[in-house]
Amino acid sequence: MKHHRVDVVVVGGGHAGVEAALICDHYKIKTLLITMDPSAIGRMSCNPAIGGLAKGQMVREIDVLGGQMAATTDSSGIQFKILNKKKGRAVWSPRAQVDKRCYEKLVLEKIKKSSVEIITGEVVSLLYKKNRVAGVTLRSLEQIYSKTVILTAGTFLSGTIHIGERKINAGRMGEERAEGLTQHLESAGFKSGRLKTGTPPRLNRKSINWSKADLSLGDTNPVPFSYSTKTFNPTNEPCHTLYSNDESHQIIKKNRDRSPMFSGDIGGVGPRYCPSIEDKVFKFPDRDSHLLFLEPEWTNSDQIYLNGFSTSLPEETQIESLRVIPGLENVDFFRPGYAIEYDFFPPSQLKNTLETKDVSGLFFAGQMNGTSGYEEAAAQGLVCGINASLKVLGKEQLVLTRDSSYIGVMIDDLITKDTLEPYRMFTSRAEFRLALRYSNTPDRLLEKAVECGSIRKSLEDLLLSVIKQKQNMREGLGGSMAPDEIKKITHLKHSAPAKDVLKRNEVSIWDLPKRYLEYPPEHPAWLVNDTIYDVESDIKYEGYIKRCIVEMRSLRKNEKIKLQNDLNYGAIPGLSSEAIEKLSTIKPENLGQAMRVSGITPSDMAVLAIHAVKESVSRGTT
Amino acid sequence: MENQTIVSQATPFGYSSIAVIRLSGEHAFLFASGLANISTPRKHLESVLLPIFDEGGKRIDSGIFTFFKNPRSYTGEDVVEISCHGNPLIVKMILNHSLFLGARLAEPGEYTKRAFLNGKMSLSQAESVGALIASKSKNAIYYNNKNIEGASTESINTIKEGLISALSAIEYELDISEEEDTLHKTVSNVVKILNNNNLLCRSLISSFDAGVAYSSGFRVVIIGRPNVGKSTLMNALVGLNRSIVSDAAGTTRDTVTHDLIIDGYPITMIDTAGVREVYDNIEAEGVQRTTCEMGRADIVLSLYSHDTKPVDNIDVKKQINVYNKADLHKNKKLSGSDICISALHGTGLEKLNKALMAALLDVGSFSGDVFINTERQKQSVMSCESSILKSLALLKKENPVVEIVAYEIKTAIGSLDSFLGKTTTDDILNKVFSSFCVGK
Ligand SMILES: Nc1nc2c(ncn2[C@@H]2O[C@H](COP(=O)(O)OP(=O)(O)O)[C@@H](O)[C@H]2O)c(=O)[nH]1
Ligand SMILES: [Mg+2]
Repeated sequence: MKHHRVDVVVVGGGHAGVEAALICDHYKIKTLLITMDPSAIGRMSCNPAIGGLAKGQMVREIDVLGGQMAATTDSSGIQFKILNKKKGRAVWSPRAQVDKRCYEKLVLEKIKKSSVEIITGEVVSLLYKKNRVAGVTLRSLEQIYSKTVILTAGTFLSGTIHIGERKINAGRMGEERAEGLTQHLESAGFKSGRLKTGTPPRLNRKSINWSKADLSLGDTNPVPFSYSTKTFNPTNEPCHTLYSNDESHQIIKKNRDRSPMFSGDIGGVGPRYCPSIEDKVFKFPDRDSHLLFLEPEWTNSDQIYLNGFSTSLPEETQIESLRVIPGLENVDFFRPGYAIEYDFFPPSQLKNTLETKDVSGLFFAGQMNGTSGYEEAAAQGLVCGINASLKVLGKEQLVLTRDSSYIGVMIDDLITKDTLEPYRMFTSRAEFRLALRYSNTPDRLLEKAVECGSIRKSLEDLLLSVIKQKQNMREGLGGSMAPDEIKKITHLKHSAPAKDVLKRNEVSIWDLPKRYLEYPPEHPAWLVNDTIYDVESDIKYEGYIKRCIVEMRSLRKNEKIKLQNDLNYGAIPGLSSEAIEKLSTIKPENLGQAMRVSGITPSDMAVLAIHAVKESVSRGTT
Repeated sequence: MENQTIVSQATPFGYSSIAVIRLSGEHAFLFASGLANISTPRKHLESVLLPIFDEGGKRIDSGIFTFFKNPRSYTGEDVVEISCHGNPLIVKMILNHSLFLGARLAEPGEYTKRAFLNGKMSLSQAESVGALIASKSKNAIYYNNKNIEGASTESINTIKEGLISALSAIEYELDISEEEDTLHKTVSNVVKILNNNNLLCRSLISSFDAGVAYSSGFRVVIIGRPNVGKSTLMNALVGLNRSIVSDAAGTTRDTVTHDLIIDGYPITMIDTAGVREVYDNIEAEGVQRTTCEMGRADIVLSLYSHDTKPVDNIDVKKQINVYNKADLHKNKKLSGSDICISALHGTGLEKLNKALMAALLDVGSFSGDVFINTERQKQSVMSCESSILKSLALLKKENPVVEIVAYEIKTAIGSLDSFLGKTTTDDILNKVFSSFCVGK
């Protein structure tokens, strides 16, 4: 038995674990990835897609912060599309249909190319030195010593799969679940809870009558996720759509009692935003159809993912209710849909660095923290990896603020809000949404990435030139346009700065004279488009963005007022008892965080603000 | 520092039968015992008659001491209220003795500020208390009381709920729906909700103006056909020559107001242009004013005389019919509640005063809903309204940018949050509390 002593142990090889391990390797610290099944590293266990509303923006953020998800998606995507094109430029969200097998293969290659060491095993407990983590113990009783540990256990902790009345103990279909780690963490003082999520059936391509389905294609000018992607010519494989019908809803209703959600077999709380088909049928009784997507799981795949039909009904009910839908009359499954229940650890036990508050050097990422989605998991894995590395190297931690990124919003939400259902990113969670566009990610995050050293030099140089390019263009647009130039594109009689002309509704940046749109030849065509489009957004939204900046400032002011970790909230006169309880468990790091804790009332805030300001005055730290 | 015991007179300055002095803070009980020179500790809600001494030990008065144990008091701290004789000199001596014992004089609004900080009331409740103290009429007190219980908070919450539902419809489009053809329906739905809430804001804003009127006094409007003697009556009541009294019908073209005190109540008396069937052009505007004044009035005095019939078909809440020029013709068929006077000779005015006050003090039926009391509250609702209007303008465009609409609606909700005290900064707090008068 090898005697291990490493800098960081990453437990789990899912999307969080992969990002964590690879970024630790980037910092050149000794990294060990422990997984129960090395063949499942980087697996996309649910839908064959990456990005989408709000998630697409996060994938770009992962890219700028040095993560791998964006580039791998660009190389494994089979259909790319910007969502929300008609609804406003700040909420444009890139999404890709991905070849799952290809994605998994590319991830494994990256890990193998790195110095990350992989071992197969199941972590059952942690080792400690005082209130620091010191390593892990495997089921084989092997002990591994490590300065830091990142737990990314996904749905594996005491996972239970439900298909109708059938219950299977598993982490994912066909994969063993992890036992014992929850109990260990509980005995170490962590609180845990139970959540559930679901997945739809996988259909056999050959059993579908494709002529009855509608075609849905990607964009003809696809935009990649990663800034390191140069030329970009992905395939544009079609997806298809179908609608469920009343007949199939009747079958679902008839068998409702056999769904563990309704029979009471599942105690965990499911996500409201991704309801099962039985949920949808009951919650929207006046809708006689729901949209279903037929998505290939990989190129030329026979396995088709039925997006929109997540369910835990018995297999025969799933089949019966689908076979009444035109196009699915003869449908066969590779695998039925199922629901899975798993343990999670309410993330209010974490700092804004994703390190646990009580055990130094221990980090949690992904579904363990009550989130759902590959992108959310990857982002947390990345932040954990960066911070574990910085900790090992004795450097200052990376903290992402709400005004910098969706990732910052997510982490702040996780640590301050009650987790009542799996957390998924939405654009509406970001109060500064107008300023958090996928196209201005470098402007928001490059400085941070450089500061903490997580970004590769080549990418840093490219992004610096993108930011410079935008500055030049903005400056150039301050220059005046001649009246005859203006006359061609809008009815303004006198000369005016190009910027003002561009602000008019009917004018697009592409209408302006070429001299305003010059760009460096080394930038790929898609990036040029991206840049120009973003400059246009900045100018068109200028007034709103200025308002956002004012709001950001006042937020930052509260963020600067620190609250002591050992603050005795019970001793502050005037705080409500709920506030005392919430604040004592969450121990917010600053006033801004405290303000966002669920259940804190305005008068609690006033009391706390006065107390905090008084404290900092008497400490002389204002 | 924050909990230093404070003291002040809770009742208005000047001679009165009773004055109330209030102590609040950690040492309130101790200082009260010092004033009365006793040593037994007192219980919550205990009320006792005790002698009161000055700092030299000389007895100056006796009064009722009522003890309130924290947190079950107005401020949430220990509080003692002392009712003594309403003699400014006695009050001054008691305050001096309290200061000698270690209390300090309360700053304006400090009691309410402490109540707010101790979680006893929300910011808008606190503001209502401020308005309560400043309000002079029974009606205002009634509505301010309603506010303390959160009625204005409730109506703001109604608007907020509407805005949240509009916002969530939009967010659904932005965050969930990947279909593009539902946008149109959502937009028309949102427009409906916004229009509705815009109206609610409007009515709250106008209630501010009504609220100010109520807080500053009752409104009594005199109406009647031209030449019935309205201006004469007003002058008689006011005791001043403020209106033009003339023989030509319709000289009082506009409304004339005068403030007076009857039985200690502030009353705004309004003389209107005459109401008649055929208006001439010059008076048209004045007549419209009359209708408007009647709408805002607490009481309408409807004048008639032997040669003019009472104005009928006027829809008012409270009306007193007054038969004038009784010196010329006695009205034989005077109906029960009508008052018979001669404005010119000043007869029957006593009786009219009595009837007026009885009716006023009975007015509890302000037809509007809820008040907003302070300029700050009004500003919040107004900026909410303006964000709603901006959203509506954006939604009128051909391809509305709904994410900007969402931003405006969020701003509107933010304005309401500031009404409810959520986004309060210290600056606002300080301003709110310093506009209160001493005592509460
Ligand atoms: N004899 C008598 N004349 C009155 C009385 N009240 C008013 N008048 C006269 O009626 C005329 C019209 O009065 P005025 O107050 O201008 O009526 P208005 O048009 O209703 O305001 C004046 O000449 C008054 O002197 C009253 O009680 N007795
Ligand atoms: Mg007159």
